Order: sequence, then C-alpha cells, then structure tokens
Amino acid sequence: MNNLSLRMLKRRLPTAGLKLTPMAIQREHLFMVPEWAVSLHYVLMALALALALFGAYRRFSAYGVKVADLPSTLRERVGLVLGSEARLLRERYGGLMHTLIVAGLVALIVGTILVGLEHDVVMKVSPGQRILVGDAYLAFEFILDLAGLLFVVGLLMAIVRRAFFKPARLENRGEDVAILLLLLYGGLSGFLMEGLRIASPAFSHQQYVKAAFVGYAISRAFLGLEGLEGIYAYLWTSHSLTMAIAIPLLIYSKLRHLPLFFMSPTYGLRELKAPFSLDEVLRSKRLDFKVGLESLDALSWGQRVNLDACVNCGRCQDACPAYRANRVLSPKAVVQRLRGVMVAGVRGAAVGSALREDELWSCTTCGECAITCPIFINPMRYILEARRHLVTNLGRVPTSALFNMMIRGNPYGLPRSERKSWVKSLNVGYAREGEEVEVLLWIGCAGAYDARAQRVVKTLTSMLSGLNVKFAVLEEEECCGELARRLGDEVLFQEIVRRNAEILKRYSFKAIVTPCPHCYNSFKNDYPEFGVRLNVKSHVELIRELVARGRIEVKKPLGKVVVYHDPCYLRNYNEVLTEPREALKAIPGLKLVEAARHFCCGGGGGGSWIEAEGVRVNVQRLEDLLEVRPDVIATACPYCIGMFEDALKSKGLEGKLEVKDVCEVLASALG
Amino acid sequence: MGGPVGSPTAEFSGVGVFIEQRAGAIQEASLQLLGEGRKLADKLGVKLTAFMVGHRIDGIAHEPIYYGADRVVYVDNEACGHYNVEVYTHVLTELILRYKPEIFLVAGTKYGRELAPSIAARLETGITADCTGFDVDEKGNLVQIRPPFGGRVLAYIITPTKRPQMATARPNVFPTPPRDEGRRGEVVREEVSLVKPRLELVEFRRAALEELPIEKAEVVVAIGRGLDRSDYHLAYELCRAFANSSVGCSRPLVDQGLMPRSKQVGQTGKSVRPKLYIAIGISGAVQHIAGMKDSRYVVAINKDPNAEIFKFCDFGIVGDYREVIPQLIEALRGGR
Amino acid sequence: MLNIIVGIKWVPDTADVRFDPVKGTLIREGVESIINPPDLNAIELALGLKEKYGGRVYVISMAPPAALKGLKMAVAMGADKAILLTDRRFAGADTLATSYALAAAINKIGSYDIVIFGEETIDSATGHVGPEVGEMLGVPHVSYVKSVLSVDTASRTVELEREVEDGVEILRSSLPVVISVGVGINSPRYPIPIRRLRAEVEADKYVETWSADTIGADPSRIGLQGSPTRVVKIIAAPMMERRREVHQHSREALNLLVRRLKEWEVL
Repeated sequence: MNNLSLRMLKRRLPTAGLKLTPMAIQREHLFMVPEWAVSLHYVLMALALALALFGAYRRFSAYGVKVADLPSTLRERVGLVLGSEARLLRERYGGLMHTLIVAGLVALIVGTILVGLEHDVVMKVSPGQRILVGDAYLAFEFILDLAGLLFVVGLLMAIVRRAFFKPARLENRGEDVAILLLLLYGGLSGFLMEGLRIASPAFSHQQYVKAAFVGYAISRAFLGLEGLEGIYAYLWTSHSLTMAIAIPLLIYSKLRHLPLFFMSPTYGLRELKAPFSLDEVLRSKRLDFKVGLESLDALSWGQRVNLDACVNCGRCQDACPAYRANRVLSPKAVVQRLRGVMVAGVRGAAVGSALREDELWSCTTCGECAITCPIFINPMRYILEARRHLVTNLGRVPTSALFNMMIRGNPYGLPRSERKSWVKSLNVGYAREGEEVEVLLWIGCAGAYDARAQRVVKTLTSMLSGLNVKFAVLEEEECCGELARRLGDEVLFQEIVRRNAEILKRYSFKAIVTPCPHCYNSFKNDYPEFGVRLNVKSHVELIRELVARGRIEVKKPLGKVVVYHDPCYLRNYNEVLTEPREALKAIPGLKLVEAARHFCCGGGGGGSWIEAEGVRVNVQRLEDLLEVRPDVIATACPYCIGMFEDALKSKGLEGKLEVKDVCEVLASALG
Repeated sequence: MGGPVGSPTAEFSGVGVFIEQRAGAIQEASLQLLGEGRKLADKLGVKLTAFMVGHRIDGIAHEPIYYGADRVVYVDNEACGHYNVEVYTHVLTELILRYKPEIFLVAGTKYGRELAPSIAARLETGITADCTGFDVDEKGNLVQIRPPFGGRVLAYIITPTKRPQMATARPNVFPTPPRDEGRRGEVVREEVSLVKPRLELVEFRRAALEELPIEKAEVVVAIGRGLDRSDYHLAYELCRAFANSSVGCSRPLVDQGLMPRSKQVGQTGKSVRPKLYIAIGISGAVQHIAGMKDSRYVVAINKDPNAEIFKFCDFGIVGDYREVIPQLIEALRGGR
Repeated sequence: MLNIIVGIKWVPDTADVRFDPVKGTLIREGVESIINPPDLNAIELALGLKEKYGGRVYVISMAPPAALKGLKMAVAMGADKAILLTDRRFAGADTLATSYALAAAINKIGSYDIVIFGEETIDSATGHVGPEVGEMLGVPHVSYVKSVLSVDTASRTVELEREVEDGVEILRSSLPVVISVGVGINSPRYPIPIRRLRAEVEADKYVETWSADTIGADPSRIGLQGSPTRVVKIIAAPMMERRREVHQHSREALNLLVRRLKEWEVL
C-alpha cells in the first residue's frame, strides 16, 4: 500500500535485486550498535518525552490553563466531533460524503502510523518482531482497502456534486477543486500502486493477497505486463509528493479546519457577554474599554481562529432566512470577508469595508447559521459585535424603536399610561411586596401595546385565572430591553436591566412566566451576567406543565390540521421544542403536522422594526407552512404571529387560515 | 428695549382685536376673534377696536365694522404689504401704546402665534395662547380659558396687573360672527414711522390649492395608523360620497411622510369642527381628539372594539375598514 | 463657524398626566419626564448646521435638576456643552418670565449666531418662548422654520424656509437670529450610547449648572414674581357627551348609520 510496506517486502526478498525503491544504496541503520543499546535508546527517548510532557502539563497551570479541565476539554472535543457529525448528516448527501472521506482518510492515516510504528520502532527494537502478522495483517489489509475505497467513493461524490449538481451554496474555487483532485489522486495512486505490487512477479503471498481486495482486483489488469517497476517508481514518488503537498495544506488551505476545529473555542447562542459593566463604569468613572467590532483588532483569538476554520461550505447561507429572502446577507460571506481581511492584515474599521450596514441589519438573529455550522462557527456573533460598534460607538440605528425605548420604555413609543390602563383592564392582581405568588406574569411590550398580542395575553390571563393559578403582574413593567441587546445598544440594555433588577427584587415569586420568547430568552440568558437570576419559564412550558399535571382538562375536540412553527428564541436559543407540541397533542382530534424544516419568521433581531426586507422573510416562511396545508398555524411568539398575519394579508389569504398562539388553541379546546 | 413698563391699568380701556389680512383677504380666524371681542366689549361696556396692518387695504378697512367692531384703526404702508414680524410688531406696539386697549386679541394663525408673543414681550405684558373661551371676572379682568396638557384639563388664567391683557385663539374654535352691512363705526388711518427690518421676505411660494382645506370642509374623512397605505383610496372614495368634504389624517401618517402636514388633525396639527367627522383606523389618542372634539357628529370605524375613539363617537362600527367602507359607500349611494 | 444655542424644555410626558378632580390639580407623580419632542428636532437642526459650517452647539434648559438626564442626552447627540439653569426662584414662571431668564442666560453665554427652540411644548403648547426671547435679546426671530437654507458668515445673514398655511416663505435675516422649529422637520439622531456614558462619567466636562445669580437675573422678573399671567384654577375638561352607538359591522349596522346621517342632515 505504501513505501513502507515495500521495504517490508524488500526485507523478505533481500536478494531479489528488484529496484523496487529509488534508494538502492541505503544507510546502514544502527550499524555496530548492539540490541541492548538500541533498546536503551528508545527507552531513554520515551522517558525524556514523558518528562517533558509532564513538565508541560504542570506548566500549563501557570499559564492559567485549567489543567484539571483537560480531560473534560478532551471529552468536550470528542463530543464536538460527534456534534459536528450530527450537523453534517442533516444534509444526507453532503454528510455521507464527508463521513466517507474523513473515515477513510483517518483509517488510512492510522494504518500508516501502525506501519510506521512497526517499521521504525518495533523492528528497530527487535528486527524479527512484527505487529502486523497473520490474521491481524490480513484484517489490516482488508480494512485499509475498504477505507481507501470509501475514501475514493466519498471524493467522487464530492466531485460529482460540484461538477453536476452544483448546489447554490458551493463555490468551486481553485482551492476546492485542487484539494479534491489531489486527495483523489492520492487515493487512486495508492490503489494503483497496490495493484502493481500485487501484479509484480516478485510478490509471493498471492494466496493472502485477496484480503487487499481492491488492489487485488486492479492487479488483474497488470498481470504479465512488462516495465511495471519503472512506472511504479514514478507513481510512488508522486504519491509521496501528494502527501508532501497535503500536509502543508493543513495550514495553507481550507483543510486547516481540521486542526483548528480542535483548537477553537465555540461561541453558543446564549453566550453573548457584555463588553463592559455599567455598574463598574459608573463606580470607577473609567471608560477604558472597547465595544464591538470596531476593527478586527477587537476580535479575540478564539473568534479569529473560528474565522479561519471556515471552509466556505455555505450551509449557514442555506439556513439563513435573510439570504433566502433577499440575498443581501450571507453569513458565509460575512465570515469569509472578515477572514480575508484578517489574513491580509488590513487595519481599520471592519464595518464599511468588510461588512456593510445593510447586511448587518438584515439579520434576524435567528441563530440558525450558528446551529447549522458543522465546525461550530457562529457567524451571527460577528454580526452582533459589528452592530454593537455601529450602535453603541456610532449611534447609527436603523429604527426609532431604541429611541422610543429610551424615552417611553417601549419600542412602540406609545405612552406609559396606555400600557398601564390596558393592564388594569385585565383585572388581574398586581404583585405586592411581601406577598409571594406562584407566577409573576411578564406581559412584554407587544402584549401591552399591540392589539393582536394583547388578545393572546387576555386569553392567557383568563386561562390562568380560570385554573386558579396564583399569578400577578407587575405594575411597573416596562421593556425587558432585549431589542437593545440585539440591535447593539449595550448602554441602554444595561440601564434597562438595572432598572428591572431593582424592581424585580422587591417582589417574591416562584417563577416568572412570559408569553414572549424574546423576553424569556433575555431573562434566562442575558440577565444572569448582571446578577439577576430568575426562574424563567415560557408560557408554553407552563401550559404543558398544567396539562401534564391534569390541571388543564382538554375536553373539546378540535378537528383541525395544525402546524406548529417554532419561534427561534424558543427553539434555537433554548431548545424548547417538545413542550408546545405536547400541549397541542393533548387536544383530541387535533392533527399536528410539521413543516419540512425550521426557518425564522423574520421578526427577531429588529426584523419587526426595520422596514423593507423583513416582510419577504415572513412570506417565504408562510409558504413553507402552507405546503403542509394547515387549517391553523400555531406558534408561541407575538412577533411570529404578527409576521404571519402580515404575510397572509400580503398574499391575500386573510381569513383563509388562522394564526394562533398555543394558549389560544388550547383555550378553544377547553370549552 | 424701550417702552413703558407696568403702566397703571386704569389708563387702559377697550377691547382690541388684530385683524389679519393676506393680500387683501381678511382671515376668518380674526373675524371669529372679533366676534368674541364683541361679547367681551359688551360685558365690560367698552369699545371694540379692530386693528389692521397692510398695504392698499383702504378698500377693506370697513369690513371689521360689519362684523361687530365699533372702530377700525389701520396702517397702510408699502412696507406692510406682506406680513413681517418686525414691522408688524413695531406698528402694532405703537398703536397699542397710542390706543391703550385693556385687552388685545390676536388670531392664532401661524403669523398670529408668532406676532402676538413678540408684541407681548415688547410691552412686557402677559399673553395666553390658544384660548378656547373668554370671560370677565368680577374685577373686570379678562379670564383666559385654555386646554393645556393635550386638552385633558381647562386652565383659567388672568393677567391681573399688566396691560394689555393679550391672548390668541386658534382658527375655528369660535364661530364666525354674521356680517351686517348696516353696522356703522369709525375708521381711522394711522401713520407710524417705520424702521428697516433685519428680517426680510425673499420669496413667497404660494401653495397650490388642490382641494378643500380640511378646516373649511363640512365633512372630514380622517385616516389613521390602522389603514394600509395601499387602501387610502378607500377614504377618498368615501369622501366623494359627501359634499364639501375633505380627507384628513392623524399625526403618525404625516410623520412618516405618507400625508401632507396640511391634512393633520390634532393638537399639533389643525383643529377642525366640521359637521361630520369620520375617523377610520384611528385609535383616538388624546392629542388627536383635541383637534376634532368640536365636530358636530363623529363616526368611528375601527377593528379594535377597545379603541379609545369609540368613547368619542356618536356612531361607531367595529369591523375591518376594507369591508366596512366599500359597503358603506354602497349603502350611501343606495340611500339617496 | 457658528455658535449655536438650543433651548430645550424638560416636560412631563403629557399623555401620561392625569387630573385629580378632587384636589383640582394635575397628577404628575409617577409620570416620567422627557425632552419636549420638537426640541429634539431643534437639537438635530443645530447639529446639522455644526456639521456643515463648523462651530459649537450649546444646549440650555431652565429646569429642575432632574433635567440633567435630558441635557446629557443632548450631549450624547453631539452638543458640545449643556447648561442647566436651575433655581428655586424660577418656579412658577410663565412664558414671559421664562423667556427673560433664558435671554439673560444666553447673554451670559456671550457670543451666539443662532438660537433654536422647539416650536411649542407638549404640555403648555404656547409657542411663545421663541418670539419672546428674540424680543428680549433684541434680535430678529422666526417661527415655524422648516429648514435653514444657507448661512453666510461673511455678510452675517441666514436664509430660512418656513411654512405657513397657504405657502412657504423664504426669509433672509441678519445674524444673530432666534428660530423656532416644528416637530417632524428632520429625524433627530440617536444619542450615541458611548457618549451618553461619557457625559455621565465626565459630567464636569460637559455640563454646567447656573443659578439666577449666575445670570444676574432681576428677581422681580423671574419666577412667579416675574409672571404677568396667573393660573387661577384648573378643572377637568368637560367632554362633549357623545351618543356612543357602537355596533359590530353588519349590513344592518350600516343601514342604521345611513339613517343617522340623514337625521343629522349631513347627506
């Protein structure tokens, strides 16, 4: 299979005189060195290495690397490999293809290492010793041939896809084509060489050679041919050259994703940290921090490594609702452009050069790109950091919603008294200091000001009252600030968090429940950084609990076809998927269907507030849902409801099907 | 700054009203104030004097008499041809010091709302803006009634020690008095020496009068946030079902550039008092109500049954305007 | 280079103010205060002029200390300095007394080319302060300005565009000049968040506090003492009684409406 196995053969046939290797004159290995000295040498080497590694191990703790974490880091990395594989396989063709290539290549490399181990270590220690013998050797040859075959099949799948299927997300750059061809050449040349070796008359183990079934099959074509050794020499060299080219490509080409994957930190959707602490700033009166992606210098090493790990596969682009709607934003392009600027060492602002404002504002922050990327890159994170720079540093906002939040405590810019009088009209109790309630219902700005969302809140409060759930609402409720965080105003966001923290700590409640997934996510994942730890539940989690505990008795059948659309902030950010479905399935007669895949409605990340592009995202998502021919679109987010009702209007389908919150569907089945 | 400060109030007597004219056309808002001035003068038992400033206005100098003034005092000068705040302030201040009215009212047109405080500051006297009512108290002070805070309250204001007591009132708050050509009165032409102003008119671009201004319409069809911009034509169609009608709107539409400011009804827009006001897709925020609350009849169409507007209407329909309006137009046509 | 001064008012968010009929007073408790919205347009205009012609923008407000929040917001938008004119003796001032104090403060600032106010406030909505301050400063004033067309610092003149009911006036004024601008003439820029933090943390650099003494005010002309007008009472505005015949949309409802319209003689 390779040059080392050839040397093996040469040893068995020392007098064959075959010019099987270019190295006819060789160095005498370990001339005049006795066995024991050689053994001692290797033992000393092993000890030295062990000592060095141990020292490094200890040293890392001085560097601040949590050494004790290494096993768990290792476990995490292995977990990431499995996670990556799962993500790859979401696309069956591409996933299979990549798995074949990687599995094949890994097997081949391990095989090579084993052979190398045998030749350069084991055989040096005791020349007669072998590890690849007998049945083990036959199995070895079979497995490696199989691996090589899978490797080649995988590569051919990749080539066919790029040449004929041409999926939109794949660009055929020189690099992409060259690597595939190079690897293919490596695989094919390997098989060819094996075939030639087996076909060679000097090859003696014919009865065993069928284990190397591919090589064996190929060898049949070369039986009885002359001049094989001449061809072989060049073939072998070219194979060696292939490796010589491939190894540097692990840094100089997209193949770097292999080492980088194991090095780079991952940035999950929930890990958006504040660039400064408002309390700290006001206390210290110091403004010595940077906010956002002012320039690439602002990127941490981990974020830079992530950029370089991108292989341009474009799965993120396929998952991006903004790209699908208007092509202005491509997460792949964002990462690749930033990467290009980083590698070129360009200084200066990122926004305006590598990134455009219109791209940044097209993002709905659904996070689909981040949960799709098989290398766990989070393109959205770069967009959010760039937004932070635009807004916090430069004040360039795409909507008046933030100014409204600053002045009136809600993105609509409507008077506070309107909210208060609406809440009053609900006739539910206000939270009172000193009285604990089971649930503090956080209504959210949509629920307080938007007519449609108000109806959902009304249904929810009626339902909870009817079930004797002890809940209260907050008289001082104002915006949770989520929009400020997503649009990039860290100052406003933290001011709002501070205000809410002060208010919330005056009351006692077992859980805070909200019908808005954006408020939910902010309380759950953004607020804890500022010391505000709340037991947060989405209203669908509460409803499901009540159904499961039998407190809600769903009696009236609802003979409708219902498709559930996952709000991104429940599904992607918080993995709340099953609860709403379980609640819906509890309704007799209800037929729950699923859309082909998840896509954002377009409302998040400012989508509902920024003019233009947001509209088409919602229409496209509606079309996804219409494909399963539902009577009702059920969801659990005021933005989603608003977006779908808008989309129905623009398609002239108003009244043809209903858009309902999960609690509204349940309410209609309560009778 | 020159001018006497805090002249004893006894010296000041009579009611004065500034009659604003533009290119020879007397502004109806001034006549409306003249009507109120007449009532005040009668209550106080004093003379009502109309003050006019302009160029080539001899021909219309008598008009205020027909609308109730006892006397007209006017300045006719080329420099006063087109309104200029510096010139008019100077002239009127001079006239006020000569004639010493105890009350001086100015119509709250755009010019009036700029001119009146200018005069008041020069005379260092008190002024109240946007009055919706006047009265006289037991001491003979002018009681100035106005709705601050978006119209939620009525404030009663007096200017006890300074004279003249000045006030403005917006157009269409008071009714236009009847014109009686039989009335007699004094017409005095005055001369005032003028100073070259530091502010001058370079150009006046008259707006093209496309349609009936909303403040003159008998029926106003007003549209709000609840309408899709592609549906505005429905409002115009409904408008055509009535005579003497015009389309108006609430403020957000103007802010978004969807409708011109001239159509804005509300606290910062225009006050209208048509016979019929139809509000479509308007929630009924206080600032809007402030501009149309004096409409004789109000009809509201809104899909939100809880909309505030339904508290301010005589007849309301809860429904989708896209169904309601076409059917209403049909019903109106059939009903004739 | 232009020295621009913008006068802003810190007002209760009028939509939230309620009236207590028992006490006969306005309930301002729990009502947030904001920068009077047209004043934001005034600030934006000033900043636009500074960008075009260079110079500096000062923002001033006669208000209680709570207004510092608004003044810092103005600094965050781009104003170079904010001046809080605060003194208990200013309390109870009507527009004349307010204008007197503002004019004195402007004279204290010293050199200025353009003074900009918002047309009217959402609470009192008088539109007086611009013209009154102009008069007291002895400079020309223009209300309802839509835009500043051009400034000629050499000839010390400015061309303005302003809207009246029946058209648009292009006016030329000498400098200095006082102008009042309406809401909606421009889009006020967002207060830059990091600058808001800076205004907060380095307040001394950006905000000054002046009292009646700082501006050498004549006590008889400020506050309640200096106000010729006086509020004698406030009552709830009587709402005209409406019939409130509200129906769900249907053919019958529409027919009923048509009948009403005929009764009202509007058809």
